[in-house]
Amino acid sequence: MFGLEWTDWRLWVAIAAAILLLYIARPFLHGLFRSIFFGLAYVLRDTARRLERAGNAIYERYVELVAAHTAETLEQKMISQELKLEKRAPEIDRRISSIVDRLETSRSELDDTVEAFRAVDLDERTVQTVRGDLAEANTTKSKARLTSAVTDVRKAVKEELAPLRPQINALRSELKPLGENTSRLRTISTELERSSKRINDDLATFEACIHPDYEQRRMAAQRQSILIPWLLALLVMMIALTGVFLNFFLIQRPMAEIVGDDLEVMGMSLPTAAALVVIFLEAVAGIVLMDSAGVTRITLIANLPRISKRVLFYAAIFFLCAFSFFEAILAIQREVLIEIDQQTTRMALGEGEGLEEAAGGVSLTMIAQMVLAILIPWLLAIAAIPLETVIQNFIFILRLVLHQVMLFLAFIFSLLATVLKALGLFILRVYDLLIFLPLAIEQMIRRFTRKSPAKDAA
Amino acid sequence: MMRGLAVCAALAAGLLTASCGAITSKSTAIFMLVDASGTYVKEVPGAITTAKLVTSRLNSNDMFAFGEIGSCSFSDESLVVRRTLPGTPSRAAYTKQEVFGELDDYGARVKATSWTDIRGGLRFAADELYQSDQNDRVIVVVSDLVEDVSPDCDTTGLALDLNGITVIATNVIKLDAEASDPDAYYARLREWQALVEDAGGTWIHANSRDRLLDMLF
Repeated sequence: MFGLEWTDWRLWVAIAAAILLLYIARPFLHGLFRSIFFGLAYVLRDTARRLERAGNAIYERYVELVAAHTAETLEQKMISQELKLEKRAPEIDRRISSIVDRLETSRSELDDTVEAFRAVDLDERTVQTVRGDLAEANTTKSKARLTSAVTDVRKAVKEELAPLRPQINALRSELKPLGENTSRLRTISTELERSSKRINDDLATFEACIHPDYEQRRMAAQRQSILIPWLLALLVMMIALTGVFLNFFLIQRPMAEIVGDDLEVMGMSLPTAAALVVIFLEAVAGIVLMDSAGVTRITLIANLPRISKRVLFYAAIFFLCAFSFFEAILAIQREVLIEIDQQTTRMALGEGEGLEEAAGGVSLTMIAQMVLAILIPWLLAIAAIPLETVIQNFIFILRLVLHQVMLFLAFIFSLLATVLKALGLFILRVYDLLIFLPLAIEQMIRRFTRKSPAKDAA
Repeated sequence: MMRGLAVCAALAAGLLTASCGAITSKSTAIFMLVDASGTYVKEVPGAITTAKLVTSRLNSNDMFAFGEIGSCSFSDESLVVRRTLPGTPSRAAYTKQEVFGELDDYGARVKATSWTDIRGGLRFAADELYQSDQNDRVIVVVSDLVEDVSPDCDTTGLALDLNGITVIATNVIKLDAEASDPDAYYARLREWQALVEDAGGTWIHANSRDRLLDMLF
C-alpha cells in the first residue's frame, strides 16, 4: 500500500497518522456526511411528499370532475325521462282506462251469466216424478221405470240448460279477453316498475355525486366507467375517420376544377388543401348541429338561448344539405374528369378509334359515388357524438395517468431518500469502524473521568 | 372588446402574411425541340408520340411548346405549337387534345431539312421559356446531337443563357460510324453537356421515353 510493504513500519505509522487525523476530524466529517446524505434525503422525501400531495390533489380533482360530469349527465337524463313520462302519462292512463273499461264490461257480463246460472231450477213436478220413480224402483226394482225416470231427468235438465248455452259461450268468449287484459295490465305495471327502478338508481347515483361528503362522491365517481366508453367512442371515431379519408379522395380531384391545380399551399397541392377545408367545414357544421340539437355539449352553443340554438340548428342543417349537394356535384365532375383524362391518354397513344364507345351516361360507379358524397357529410355530423366522449374521457384518463405518474415519482423519490439515508448511516458506521481504536480509548477515558469525581465525592 | 378585435386582426394579418409566403406555384414550362434533319427525320413520328405523352401528363397552367430543329432554328417558323393550359383540368384536357391535333398536322407535313442548327434551336427555346411565367423550365431535345450548320446560318459562336433551365436530351441515336467507336458517342454527349452546363443549365440524358417521362413528372 502506497508503495510500501505491509511489514514496513512507515506504512503503519502512516495508517496510525491517518486514523488519528480521521479521529480528530470526526465531528466535522460526520457533520459533513450528515448534511450531504441526510440533507439530500430530506429534500428527496420532501419532494416525494409534495408529489404525493399533488397526485392526490389531481385525483381529488378527477373525482370531482367525474362526479360533476356524472351528475350533469344524470340530471339531463332524469329531465328527459321526466319529460318522456309526462308525455306518456296520458297515454298510459288512456290504456289503463280502456283495459279497466273492458274489464268492467266483462265483469257485468259475468254477473249476468252467474245470475242466469242461479236461475236454473228444475221443475218441481219432474223432481217429484223422479222421486216417486226412484222410490218405486227401490220397491219393485223395475229397471224399465228407472230408465224412464232417468230419461225424464235428462230431458228436464236439457230443457233447463238450453237457455244457458249462450251464457256458457259468452262466458268462454269473455275469459280470453279477460286474460289478455290482465296480462296487459301486468306488462304496464312491470314497465312502470322498471322505469321507476331505473329512475331510483339514477337518483341514488345523482345524490351520491352531489353529496356534501367527499367519500360518497369518490365512491360514486369510482363506479363510473371511463375507459370502456372512451375506447368505444374512439372506435366509432376511427370508423368516421375512414369515412373522412374516403370523402377526401372523392372530392380532392374534382376540387381542381374549382381552385385549379397548379398552386401549392405549404407544400400541399391547392385541391388537396381545399378538400381538407371542405371536410373540416362539414365536421364543424356537424358539431354545431349536434350541439344545437342538445345531443352533445362540445361548444358553448348549449348555453345559448333557445331561439339562437334553433337558428344554429337550422343553419347547420342547411349547410350540411348544401355540402351534400356540393359533394354530389363533385362526384359527377370526378367521373367526367376521369373520362376526359382517359380519352386524352388514349388520344396520346393513338387509340382514338375507341372514343365513341367509351363515352357513356350515368354509370353505377357514379351513382355509388353520389350516394356516398350525399351521406358522408351527415355521417361526419354523427361523428360529433363520440367526439364529445373522446375529448371528455381523454381528459379524465389524462388526469388519472398524471395521478399515477405523480404517485410513481413520489415512490421513486421516497425510495431514493431512504437509500441515501441508509448510505449516509453506512458511511458514518464505516468511518467509526476505521477509527474504532481512538474511539474506544476515548470511551475508556470518559468512563474513567466520570467514575473519578464519583469516587472523590464518595 | 377592442383588444379582442385587435388580437383577431393581428392574427388574421399574420395568417395572411404566412399564407401568402406559403402559397407557391408548381407549374412547368416544357419546350420540346425535335430534329428534322435528313438523318433524323425518320424519328419524328416517335418524337410526336413522346410529345403527346408529355402533354397528356401536364397539369393546368403548365406550358407546352414544340419546335423544329432545322437549317436555321432561331426563327418563328420553327415553332410548331405553343400553348399554356387553362386553369381547370377539364379545359386543360380539351386544350391538350387540340395540341395533339396540331402535332399530328405537323407530323403529316414534316420535311427533312438540309442542315441541323441545334444551338439556334436551344437559344430560341430558352428565349420562349424565359418569357413564360412557369417556375420550372425544361427543354427536351430529341436529336442525334450532330450539329451541321449552313454557311448562311452559322450559329457555332452563338452565346447561350440557360440559367434555371433543365435540358433533357432523349433518343440520342448512335451513328453508324460509332458502332466501331463507342467513345465518340459518349464524347458527343459530354460535349453537349459541357455546353449546356457552361451556359448555366442542367444537363440530363434520358435514354428512353419512359425515363424521360420519369424525369419530367
